[in-house]
Amino acid sequence: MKLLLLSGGMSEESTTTRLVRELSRALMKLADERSIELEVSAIQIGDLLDDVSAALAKNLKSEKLKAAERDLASADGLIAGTPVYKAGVAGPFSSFMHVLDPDVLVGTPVLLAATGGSARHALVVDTEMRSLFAFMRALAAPTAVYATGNDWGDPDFSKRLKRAAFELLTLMGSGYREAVRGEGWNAYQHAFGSAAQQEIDFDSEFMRMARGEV
Amino acid sequence: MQIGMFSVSDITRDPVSGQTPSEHERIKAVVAIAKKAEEVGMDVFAIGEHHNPPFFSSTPTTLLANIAAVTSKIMLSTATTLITTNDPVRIAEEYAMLQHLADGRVDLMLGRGNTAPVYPWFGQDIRKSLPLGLEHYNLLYKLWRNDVVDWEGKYRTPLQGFTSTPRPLDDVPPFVWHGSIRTPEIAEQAAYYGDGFFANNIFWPKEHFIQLVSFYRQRYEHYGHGTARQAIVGVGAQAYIGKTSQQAKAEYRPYFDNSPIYGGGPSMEETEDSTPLTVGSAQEVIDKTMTFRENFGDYQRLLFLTDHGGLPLGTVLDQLELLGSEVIPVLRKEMASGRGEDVPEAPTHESLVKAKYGDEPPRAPRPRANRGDNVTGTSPYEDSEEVTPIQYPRF
Repeated sequence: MKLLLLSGGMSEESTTTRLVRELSRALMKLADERSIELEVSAIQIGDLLDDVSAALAKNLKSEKLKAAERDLASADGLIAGTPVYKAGVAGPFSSFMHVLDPDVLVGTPVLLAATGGSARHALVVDTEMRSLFAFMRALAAPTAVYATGNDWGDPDFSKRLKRAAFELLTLMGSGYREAVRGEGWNAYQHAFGSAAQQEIDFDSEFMRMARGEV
Repeated sequence: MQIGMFSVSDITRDPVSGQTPSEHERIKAVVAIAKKAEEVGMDVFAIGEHHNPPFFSSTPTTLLANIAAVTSKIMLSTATTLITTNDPVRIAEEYAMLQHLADGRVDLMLGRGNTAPVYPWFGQDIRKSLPLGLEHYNLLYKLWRNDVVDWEGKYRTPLQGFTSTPRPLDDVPPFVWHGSIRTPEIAEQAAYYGDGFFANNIFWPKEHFIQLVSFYRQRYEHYGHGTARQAIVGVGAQAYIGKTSQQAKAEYRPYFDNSPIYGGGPSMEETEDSTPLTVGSAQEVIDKTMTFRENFGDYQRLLFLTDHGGLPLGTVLDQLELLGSEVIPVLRKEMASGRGEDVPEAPTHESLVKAKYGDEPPRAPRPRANRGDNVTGTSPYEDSEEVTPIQYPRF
């Protein structure tokens, strides 16, 4: 299975990237114990800042951004992390999400993660990120992880990481994504030419209207 | 192969001189531009339709009728005519009228329009834009092909025994192109009726259009109008030509950077990489334009946007001169070589008349004496059948 890591951190050293990596380590360990093979890759939004702003301003998607979209569309599971800068999901992360083809994450299990300076913003994962991924029609695991500097040494924190990783791994193996993208696919609205193109329904009301039948 | 130009009718401040032309100046300038386009050997002049400043072209047929009077060969078209907010009855009347005055040198491109506030100005609802456009065209198609039309739809009051006048010239409606940048239903409608499909690819990356054009081609074949490669496709282009690449870039950069479309986004060079815009030597424009065929297959119409973003009249005329002398002749030659032999030209009035009548004289409808209405009595034209069946409204 393909596991994709998406970090809204600005660098390899950022706390968010570290959290996402910790979660992926926990998940890989669980997978290993169950002899599940995982192919892991990563997207660092800090590397895509110019590409994201060009896409936001003028709808021009760079090759790098299109490659990131393809990675997202083909992932069986996603760990998505963002820093919290000012009481909300950091701009680069939400901007990245805003320019994505809306079809790429349909049915994809996601583990939500965020880091911040104080515990006061712990609900960002559940109030902002969860609704964002609901819009993308992804499946967010019930346990989301929010970390401040104080959490890293706390034994309860690693339990939480493990629990979250277990949920994501279980969802990835559940067959939910395949079912939604297979049998369930046409029940969702898709844009023509999207990264995850479906069959065109020639019997839709508007298609019949195009032929003067309505 | 038809090669021409289109204008969206923007009145934009010239960022170099700081001057904004008056509406009157710009309208007169566009007439001069159209005349020049004919003079340099272009085949088509097309004008947009907008109903808000800073655009002037609210009534394309008035402008095109004036241009028809001062030109003799160039085909007059639109880019686009709004099929949503215009009453299809008015479109049928106005463009048939224009067709008569221009002796058939008319076709049109239909678009839905994406300026949300315009819809309510004309009593329409943008949320219904797609079904509205589709239904309006179904009606327009009938109005141009039937002397008497009974019609009932969702978005317009029903018609009983209505005759759109004048009838199209020679009873051959203007050819219609459907413009769309993302809607498969529009491509489907174009394919169903055997009309043309225009992908105005100039502000967007090409990948976006390749799929839509190929969908239209497949459906054109599906409906039996010809093979996929015989479908009638038009594409947009945009160029600024200089003696050298550097000169062109230096001259055009202030217009690019201050453009209401491009300004504030990716740089001119990045935009050139991902859209049809070319700022460079004539050869560079030729090279870039020749890539369109690789993306869309052999196509029938190419329209350059030449007067956008505050370029002064003199510069636009010079650009047309360069296009006509250094670019278009080469494009014609290169497009002809390797072009599929079974790929047709875009229809013209002459070719449509020929297809309909062969060597017979075309129909020239002559109305019967005034009956006061269209509902009672016989056909409104002398040459139609004695009794046209009339469907009365249901109650």
